[in-house]
Amino acid sequence: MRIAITELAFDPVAEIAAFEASDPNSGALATFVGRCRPQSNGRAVRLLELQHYAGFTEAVVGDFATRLATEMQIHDIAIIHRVGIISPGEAIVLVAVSSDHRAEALHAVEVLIDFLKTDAPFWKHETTDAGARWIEPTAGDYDRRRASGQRT
Amino acid sequence: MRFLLFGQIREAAPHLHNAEMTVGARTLDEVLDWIDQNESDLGAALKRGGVRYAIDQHFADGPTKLHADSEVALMSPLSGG
Repeated sequence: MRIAITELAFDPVAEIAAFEASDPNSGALATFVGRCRPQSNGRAVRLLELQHYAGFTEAVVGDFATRLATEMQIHDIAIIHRVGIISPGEAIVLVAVSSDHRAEALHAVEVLIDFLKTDAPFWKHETTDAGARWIEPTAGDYDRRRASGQRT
Repeated sequence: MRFLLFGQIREAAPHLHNAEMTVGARTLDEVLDWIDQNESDLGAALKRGGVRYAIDQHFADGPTKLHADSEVALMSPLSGG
């Protein structure tokens, strides 16, 4: 399992290739890449800044991923999450899951990204050409988290 | 104890972030009472929905006990991904 919280930009394609090569015995590999959008509510995004709680964030994400891997018989999980200043177009997060079959891998990716959206200690601050604002989870994010958790 | 503030609530009391304070509280509830009495802007910000707390790097709620040298994290709604 790999949990990485990093200020450095990363290449999702290279990370997925490395993850795939590390687990040649899996039958399924599912991934999700979240990127910093160039536009938000019709405004040009200048930058996104992510805070985290050093040490605690890594522990919370790692504990959740470990429990999920055990419950869903997942082979391996990789989560790479940016913090600090992020430019439009750059990857914010990569979630990769390997398992025997596609259903478990696809579902685990959904559960993990829904968890990251509402229950992992990160905070997003967006600056656009119209000003700056904090981004908080929407009611839809909380609904998806409840729904995906119930299906686990 | 040492306060850490994350997300929007840091703007309500930036001087408290990473600050060592003598509060004399034994539980998180007592810390929140101290904030209400001494940091009214922060107290109001903490009453918004979705705020989470951690004591010594574990999620916590009101009755959670703490020590004089505990690390108390006050966290705006979590929002990663």
